[in-house]
Amino acid sequence: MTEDTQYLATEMNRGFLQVLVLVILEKSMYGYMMIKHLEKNGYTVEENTLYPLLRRLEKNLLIKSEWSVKEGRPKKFYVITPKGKQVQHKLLEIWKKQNLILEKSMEEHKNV
Amino acid sequence: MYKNLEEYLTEIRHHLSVKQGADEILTEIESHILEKTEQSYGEITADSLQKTIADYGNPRHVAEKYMEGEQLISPVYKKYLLAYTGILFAFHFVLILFAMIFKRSMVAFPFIYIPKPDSFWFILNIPTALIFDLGLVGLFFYFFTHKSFRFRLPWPKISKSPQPEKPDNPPKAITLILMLLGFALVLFTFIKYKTLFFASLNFPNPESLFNPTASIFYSWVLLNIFANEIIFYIVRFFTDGPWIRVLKNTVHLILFWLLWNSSVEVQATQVTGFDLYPFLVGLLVFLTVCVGLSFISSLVQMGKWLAHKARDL
Repeated sequence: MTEDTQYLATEMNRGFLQVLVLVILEKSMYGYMMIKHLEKNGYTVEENTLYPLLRRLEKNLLIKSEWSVKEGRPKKFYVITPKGKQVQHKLLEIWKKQNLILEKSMEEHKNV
Repeated sequence: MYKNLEEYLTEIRHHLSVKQGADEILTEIESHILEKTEQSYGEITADSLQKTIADYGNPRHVAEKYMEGEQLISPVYKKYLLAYTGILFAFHFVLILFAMIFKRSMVAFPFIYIPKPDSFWFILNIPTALIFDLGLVGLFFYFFTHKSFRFRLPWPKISKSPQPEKPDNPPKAITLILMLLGFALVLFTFIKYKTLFFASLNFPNPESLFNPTASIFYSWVLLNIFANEIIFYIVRFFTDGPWIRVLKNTVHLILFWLLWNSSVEVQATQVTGFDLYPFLVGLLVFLTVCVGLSFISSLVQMGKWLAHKARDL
């Protein structure tokens, strides 16, 4: 991937990751667990991208966290809040609409 | 806790600028690194931890991702920081030159005080002035970033390209040979006639423009300027960068400082009935200003180059 493409891909992923995190946190998870879950679904995210995002989402009351000790190690579990679910639904609607617009635009340009 | 992990977390904490929750952030990172090490390498050892730490990233970059809230200086002003510093430094530098030429101290807002050039160490006023001006401009931009009133500064036209200026033409061997031949000729002339400034060219006994002491002194300075140019041209064969021009201009400035502060008495030969002295002083002022402007230009070029390098990192 060229440098320009990488930059644009990062910008695209920034918004997508926020929606994705809100979706997977319907179920309570901690950071490492989320990374492994996303990798299994074909999406790679760096830990020092995910954790600051989780902190921002928590600050905006879209998710909440709780410390728990598992296997002798403290882990911070996150889960979506009711406010987070509202935002998640709105974002998914926007994403679906954008997807439709993109498909339509690509279809129009295919016929040119 | 393992020493390398502890050091890594300490380094991240050093760079963290969050208002609260630093301990929680670090506990989370620690827990993640330990679990990832165990899952990836089967056991937690200093070596396996080091590999995970290396993957996690540079501590400063990790801490930067948590940056929240206000910037010290708004990004809008940041990109003009060097430009405004350059403009302010240009004025400051002209005042330093005046102090050097007229051998007097000055008080001028906002530069406060420019001392009289009593000694060679006066030359250190130049980098001090640059650092002072950078701090002053930064302070103004910090102030305007954190105040709510609206204002517009006149922005100087800045190239939008993030790339540094095109580098000088690469040095050529033929040019170096010509410079060395020229220098040899000039040196020979100086050795033979004890001057490089001639009022008349009646060889084999040409008339010098100045008295003997002044002739030797000013010719020596000119030879050094020429030699300086050649030395830095040779350096460019091995390495290049705007810092070379900065160093070269610094040496030029030191030589001009010697010119202005020498106690050598100049007696210019009367040519065609008029006194050459004011003309010579005017010429020297002009050349000093040219060297000064070249110095500032090379500093600005180096600033852009350094900013570009910092962006690449």
